[in-house]
Amino acid sequence: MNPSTHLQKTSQKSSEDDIDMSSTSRHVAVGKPEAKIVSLDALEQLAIAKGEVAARSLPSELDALGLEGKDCPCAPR
Amino acid sequence: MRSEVKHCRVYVDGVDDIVVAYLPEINKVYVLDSSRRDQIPDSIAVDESQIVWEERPPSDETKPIDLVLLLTSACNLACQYCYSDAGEASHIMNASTASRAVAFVANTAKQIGKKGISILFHGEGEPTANWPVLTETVDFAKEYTASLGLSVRFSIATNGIYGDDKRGYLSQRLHNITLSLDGPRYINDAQRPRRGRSSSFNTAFESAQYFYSHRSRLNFGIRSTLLPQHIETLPEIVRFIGLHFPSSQLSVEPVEFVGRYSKHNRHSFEGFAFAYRRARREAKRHNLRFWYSAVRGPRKSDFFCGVAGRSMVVGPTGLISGCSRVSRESHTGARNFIYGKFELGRSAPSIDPTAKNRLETYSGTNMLDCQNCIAYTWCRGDCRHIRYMANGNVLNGVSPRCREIRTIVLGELMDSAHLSMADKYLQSYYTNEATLPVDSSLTERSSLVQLRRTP
Repeated sequence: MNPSTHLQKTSQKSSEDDIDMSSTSRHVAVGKPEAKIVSLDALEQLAIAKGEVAARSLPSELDALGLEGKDCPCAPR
Repeated sequence: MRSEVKHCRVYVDGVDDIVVAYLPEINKVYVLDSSRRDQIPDSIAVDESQIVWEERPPSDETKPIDLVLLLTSACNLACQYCYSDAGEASHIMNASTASRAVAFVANTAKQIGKKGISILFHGEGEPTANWPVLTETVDFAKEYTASLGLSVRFSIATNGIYGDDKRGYLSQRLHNITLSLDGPRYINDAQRPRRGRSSSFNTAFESAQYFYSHRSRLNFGIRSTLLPQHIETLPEIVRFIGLHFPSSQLSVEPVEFVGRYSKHNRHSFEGFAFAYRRARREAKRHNLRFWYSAVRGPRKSDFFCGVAGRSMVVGPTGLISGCSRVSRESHTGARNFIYGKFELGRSAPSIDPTAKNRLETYSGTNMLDCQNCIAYTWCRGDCRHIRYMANGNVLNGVSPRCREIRTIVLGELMDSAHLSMADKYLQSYYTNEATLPVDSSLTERSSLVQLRRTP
């Protein structure tokens, strides 16, 4: 099955439907320009660079400092 | 055993020969060759354990749990950009209005099962200029919330133009203090003179030193406003703050053309994104927490701030607004942001349900030009008031800061992926505004849907 077709079909299922992760997680669409990447592993394998946003930018960090949602973030005064 | 699987949204943008794929729900960034772009789907199934996205119940956006009290329009400074023309006319909140607002927010928090509330003393003018009401409100709020079994956290945005008595009180009783200081003396005094045009720098700086020395028991941060002519000076401003207040917090905001600054010509903030990137590096050298409101990092929310009701802004005359910039009938956008009033002699506020409902529609989900943008989860459509001022409405179009925001966010993502040549790519992105066409199938944010189960 074409991975992209598979993805479309699974995405049309209701929220009660089951997804067989083993069938969707290992399709790597190398050499098939029309095919979609369907797993994180596949995306990762094709990446020329990867990373994560530093924790200092994450909201939980700001929440801990009492800075998120406690002020008009931008009012010039 | 059943494990939960979520479909995680993939945001995409790129320039030249690279494309950035960003999955905020699991905090992953990938850079691919642009020839791969068509292979990137709108979402990817991941195990729920990988999700780092913070859940917020919808009521957190619409029910008042953060109170913002604008205690007075009086101010001892004459900042050239003041958004509310502070000091021009004197409106002073009375203690009754403040205590009724505290009780209303605390009662609401109790009803919806919150453990506490926050109270911010903010403009229009300098909150400490209404000192008796500030201190009475602190006492009342502590007592009232304790009677309900709630906690209360106090914050203030202040100019620091006072002596040790007020500094001591604020540092002992409040939890968060944001002090406005625009950098070195020559910039600060040009932008933030006293009402008689004399220097305010020494007193503000001494207050900053005082609060900084007490930071073990309070969150202290500095807020600097940036004028167009100082864009290239931003790294110098950061260096100044970093040298004197290392390991503290600094937020920088480009000025908005409202209030006193609406009289000035509209200069461009062209290049702010790159000055911001240089300033970020400078901040890192001094271990400063440094940010700009529109790029505070990803969050699962469709609101930039508490405009839909989470933050209840009460002006000096008792008007209730979703936005701290719009607290008088004469303010631009009053019809769009003011939704009630604390009337004399009535404990409960009168709320206009139509106006409140309108504020709740100011969600990013109703901003069609923003939903597929790679920066959406960071800026969430940007400040609703800035959008209103630029576009004449809140929902249509994009923020006038969009180009700078997108460039900064894309840069943050490239940096996160340790992409060499990020600045070269960003310059090209910025110059050509060369976004790749966004996939039209990306119509829903998967963060909000598609929880599934598998055996």
